[in-house]
Amino acid sequence: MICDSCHDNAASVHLQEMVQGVKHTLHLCLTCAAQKKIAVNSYESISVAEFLLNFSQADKDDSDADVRPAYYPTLTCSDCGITSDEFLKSGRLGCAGCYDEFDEILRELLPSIHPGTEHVRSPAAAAEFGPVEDMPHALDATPSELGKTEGDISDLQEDLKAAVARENFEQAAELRDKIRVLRDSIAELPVAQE
Amino acid sequence: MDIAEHISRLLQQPVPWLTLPGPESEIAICTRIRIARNISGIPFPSRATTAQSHDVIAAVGAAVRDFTDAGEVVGANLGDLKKADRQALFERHLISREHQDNKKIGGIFFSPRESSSIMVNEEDHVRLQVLRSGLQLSQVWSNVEAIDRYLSGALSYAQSPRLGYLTACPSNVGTGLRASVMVHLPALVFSEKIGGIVQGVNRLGMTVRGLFGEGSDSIGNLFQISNQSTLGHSETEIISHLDRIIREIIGHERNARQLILEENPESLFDYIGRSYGMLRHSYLLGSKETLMKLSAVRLGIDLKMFTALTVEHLNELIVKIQPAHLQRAAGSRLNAKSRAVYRAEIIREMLNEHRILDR
Repeated sequence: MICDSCHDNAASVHLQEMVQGVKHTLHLCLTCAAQKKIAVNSYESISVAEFLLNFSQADKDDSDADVRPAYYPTLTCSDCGITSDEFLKSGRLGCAGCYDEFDEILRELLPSIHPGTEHVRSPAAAAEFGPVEDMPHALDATPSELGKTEGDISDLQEDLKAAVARENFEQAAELRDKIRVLRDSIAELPVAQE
Repeated sequence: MDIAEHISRLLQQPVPWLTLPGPESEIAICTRIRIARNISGIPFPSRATTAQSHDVIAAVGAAVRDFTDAGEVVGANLGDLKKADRQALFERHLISREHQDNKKIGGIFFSPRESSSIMVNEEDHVRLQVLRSGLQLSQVWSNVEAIDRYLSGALSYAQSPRLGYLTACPSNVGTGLRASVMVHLPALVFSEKIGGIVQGVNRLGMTVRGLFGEGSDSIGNLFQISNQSTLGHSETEIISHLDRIIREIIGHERNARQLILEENPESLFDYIGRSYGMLRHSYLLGSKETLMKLSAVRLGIDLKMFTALTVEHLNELIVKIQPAHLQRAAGSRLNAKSRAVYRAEIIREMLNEHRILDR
C-alpha cells in the first residue's frame, strides 16, 4: 500500500474515520506521519478530519519544501547495508542493528506511531492470568479486587433499576453487562475451582 | 505421504478450532493473537540471503519439533506447495495474504487443529499466532505465551532493553503483539450506529478492519478489531484493554438487536427469512452476496429462527465457499461462474437440512 500523502513510500500508519456512514481511510508512510505530526497518544488517535486540517496547514507553511524531510542525513547500516533513505521509503528496517544505526530517526518516528517510547514488560504475566487453562473472565477481576465485587454488584443492580425506570435502555444494557461480567468473574475465580 | 499431499488432505476438512463453540459466539466469531520475533544475528527476511532464510526455517522447525510430538506438527516450505494450496492456507487464516506468494523463502508450521501457526520469513523471521473461536483473549494469550516461552528457549531473539522485541517494521516494535477479535455487528450496522462505534474504537487506540485483515473492507457485517500500537503498553495491558472494548461492543450490539426486535420485529424476521430463502434456492451465488445473506442467517440463529442450525455451521460454510476451497472440493480449477454454481450447491445442501421455524 502506497502513502496517500507523498504517493512514493509504503504506508504503515493507517487512519480511519466514519463520517455519516461513509468510511474514510488514510494510509501514510512513517515519514509523512511524522512530518504531519500525527501523534498517537495513549490509546487516543487523531481523526482523518483533524489530519487533513493539519495537512493543509502544513502544505501552506512549506509549499516549496520537498516532500521528503531534508533534516535526515543519509545513513548506512554497517550490519546489513540498508540506507536510511531506503528505510524511509519502504518503512522496513533491514536488521536489528538498524535500530542503533538509525536511532536518531527512530526517536523522532516512534512517538508518531506508538503511545510510548519504551517497551513495557508485563508484570509477571502468570500473576495476572494464572496458569488455569479455562479462566475466561480473569481479565476482568484480579483476586485483590474481589472483596468489593459483591458490593459492586448490588450497587450496579440499584443503578440498573433506576436506568430502567428512566427508560434509559442503553445505560441499562451497559449496567446489565457489567453485572454479568462481575458475576462471571466470581464464578471463574481460581478459589472457586477445584 | 509427502507434506504437500498431507496439507491438501487437511484442506478438505472443516477448520477444527473454528467449528468449536466459543464464549460469546453469537457475536464474537474468533480471537487471534500474533507476536512478531526475529532471530538475533541474522538480517530481517527482506535483507537476508536465501541460505540464511533457509537456516531460519530449519532452526524454527527444530525448535517446534523439540517441544511438540514431531509427528503432530505440520510444516512446509511454501515453495513446495501448489498455488491453490497456499491460497487455501490463507483462506483458513493460517498465513497472510502476502505470505501466499513467498515461495522463495517462506515457511509455515501449524498444529493439527490449526489453532497455532508460525509463519517463517514473512515480514519478520517468526510470526506466531494462536486462534480460537469466540471471545477468548486470555486463553489465547496464555497459549501464545507458552509457545513463545518454548521457542525463546531454543532461538535467540533480537531485542533491546529499551525497545523490547525488534521487528522489521517499527510499527510492531516493543511487544510485537497484535491481538484481534472478529465480531458480527449487523444490528449496529442496520441502526446506523456503527459509525460512532468505529470512531470510538479508533479513539481508544484500536483499528477496525474487514474479514481478511489489513486492507480488506468489511463484508457481511464482520469487523476485525485490533490494537494499533505495540510500544508503551505491556502485552497484558493491550489485551485487557481490547477485552474491555470488545465486551462493550458486544453489549451495544445486543442492545441494538433488542431494540429492533421490540420496535420492528416483522421487518427483521422478513429480512432474515428472505435472505435464507435466497440462499436456500439459488443456483448462482457470488461470494460477497453469500456473506451478506449468511450475516442475516447468523442473526436469525441468535433469534432462534431455525431448526438446529448453529453459528458453527456458518463458520464452516464461510471457509468452504472461498475460491481455493471450492476448487479443492471440485477437484479442478473453476472460473468465477462455475465457482458461483458450486458455491450455491454447497449452500443449498447445507440449508436443506435446516428448516426455518414458523413464527
